[in-house]
Amino acid sequence: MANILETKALTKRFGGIVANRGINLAIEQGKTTGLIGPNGSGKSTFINQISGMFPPTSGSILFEGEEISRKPACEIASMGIARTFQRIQLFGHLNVVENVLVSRCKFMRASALDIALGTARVRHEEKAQFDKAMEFLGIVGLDGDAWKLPSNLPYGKRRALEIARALALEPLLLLLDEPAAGMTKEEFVEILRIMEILKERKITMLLVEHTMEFIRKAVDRVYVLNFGEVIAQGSFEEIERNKAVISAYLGDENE
Amino acid sequence: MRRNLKRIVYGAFFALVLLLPLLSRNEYVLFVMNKALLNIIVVSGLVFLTGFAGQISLGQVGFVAIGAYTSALVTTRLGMPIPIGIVAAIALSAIVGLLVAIPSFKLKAFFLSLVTIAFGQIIYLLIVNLTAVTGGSQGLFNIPPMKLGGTPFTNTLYYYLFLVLIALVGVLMYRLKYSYIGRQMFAVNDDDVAAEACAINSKKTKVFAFALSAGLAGLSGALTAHMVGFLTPDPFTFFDSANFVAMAVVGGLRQLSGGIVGGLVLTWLPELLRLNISGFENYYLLVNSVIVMLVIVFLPSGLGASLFKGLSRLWREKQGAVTLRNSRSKEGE
Repeated sequence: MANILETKALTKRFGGIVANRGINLAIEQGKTTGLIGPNGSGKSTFINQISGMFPPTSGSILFEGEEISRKPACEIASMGIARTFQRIQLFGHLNVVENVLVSRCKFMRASALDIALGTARVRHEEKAQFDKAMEFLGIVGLDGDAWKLPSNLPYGKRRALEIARALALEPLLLLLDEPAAGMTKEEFVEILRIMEILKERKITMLLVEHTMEFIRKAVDRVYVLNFGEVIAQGSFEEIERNKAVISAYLGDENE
Repeated sequence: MRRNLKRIVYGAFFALVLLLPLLSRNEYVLFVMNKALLNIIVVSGLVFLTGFAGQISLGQVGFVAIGAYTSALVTTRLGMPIPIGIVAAIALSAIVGLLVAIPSFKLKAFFLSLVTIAFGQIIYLLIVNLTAVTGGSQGLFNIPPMKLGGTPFTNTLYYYLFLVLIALVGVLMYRLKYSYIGRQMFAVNDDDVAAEACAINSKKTKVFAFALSAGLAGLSGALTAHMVGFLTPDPFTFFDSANFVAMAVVGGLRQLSGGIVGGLVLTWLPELLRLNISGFENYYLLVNSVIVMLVIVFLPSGLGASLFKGLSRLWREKQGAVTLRNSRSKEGE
């Protein structure tokens, strides 16, 4: 199948530090690609570049064949790349369903003038998008919490809400930055269940994760980063036996 | 029963507002009330800009000044009718608002407030120094008043005109707040990085908020010019900008009611203190400031928010969301 996203020699420097060095990575349509590596290996930097938060120092990012490395974040999101954040970033003053509705803004066609005049179009659109937002909450099992503030949700549900908000963009590619970080056993089971639902829906994903158990269950193909470079790639089984990967994670016996 | 109570309270409030010129024949009361209404228009814009979109402006009086001088000059120098002057005032203020929004793309809170202070200062200095256009500190005189059938507006007529305009502004703000545009504002305010990740153009959102609040400030300035009949640089200092922010904060930054409550309370408070505390005339602004500080410390979400919280408890309504209407929240529960 075709690759939905490809990076070519993607490099990001912060002053003297090279956070990503010449990364060539391909994400296949409909598959879940994993990105693993020790702390500070450049995984989040990679996601931040693809989603337009940091402009790359050099190299290119092709999304459906189009160069996106110089586009602003909102345009990239609008083109179909949604993301979650390593540290959950929800809209604290908006309630749960409003958080998801924020992602539905791009589907709104009413102009400011329509809104000022309070036309029927505005009311219909608001109602339709509200129902859509509730649907996305339903997917992650949050429809019962629609009127709560995010701060009143337990940690696991906040993660789920962030995923629902990303899904509400109806993305072609979903970037998940450590979705299982800091979770209890029960929350972990719940996030795995959500991942299963996403896979059933054939959503293409890039999953950045530390937890090996999670990666094993969730991904089709894995890239391993160390010191900003790809040191291995392949299926999880291949990666698990790869010497370079083992030494990056556990240290080399001969060192 | 509860619903009736709500009707009675709101009905009494609107009746009082509508009948005020009949209840009080005092021209001074009406004049201060008109000033309060003009302030409400500016402060409502600030609530939108700062409370909703999260962009601070400590130079809002700059836009008021641009509106005031534009309408005054268009009607006196160019001899155009007043409505054209007012439209020109709103348009020019809004355009300058677009430009002032540009620094907000990079700058936040403290740094943005410094830039906006500088903007207000630039406008003030231009008014003082561009003597040929603005009359400098001598002022600009003979600005035509609004007229009805050849006779100039009385304070009562201005009062009703301003009420109508505030009602229109209120409806506009209400509809914007409870729409996706309002949602974009609150999203950018809470977390602009996450908002961008949700396909929201945070620059556009900030520009819209600045332009709208600037346009409202310009409208208020233009109306002031025609009501008062002359302009000097005096009411366009940094102190006045800070006072508008104080009104917004005291009223409640995150509520539409904040502009109304804040504008009314902080226009009347110094007047009442000045008149009623005998032997204390020189200290009324000090007392005013202490009261402002107390409100901010003890009611940080503002008088308007506290008032409506109390009222909605009275008729047992639940506040469900920021950008979704209450009826919807019940439906969802």
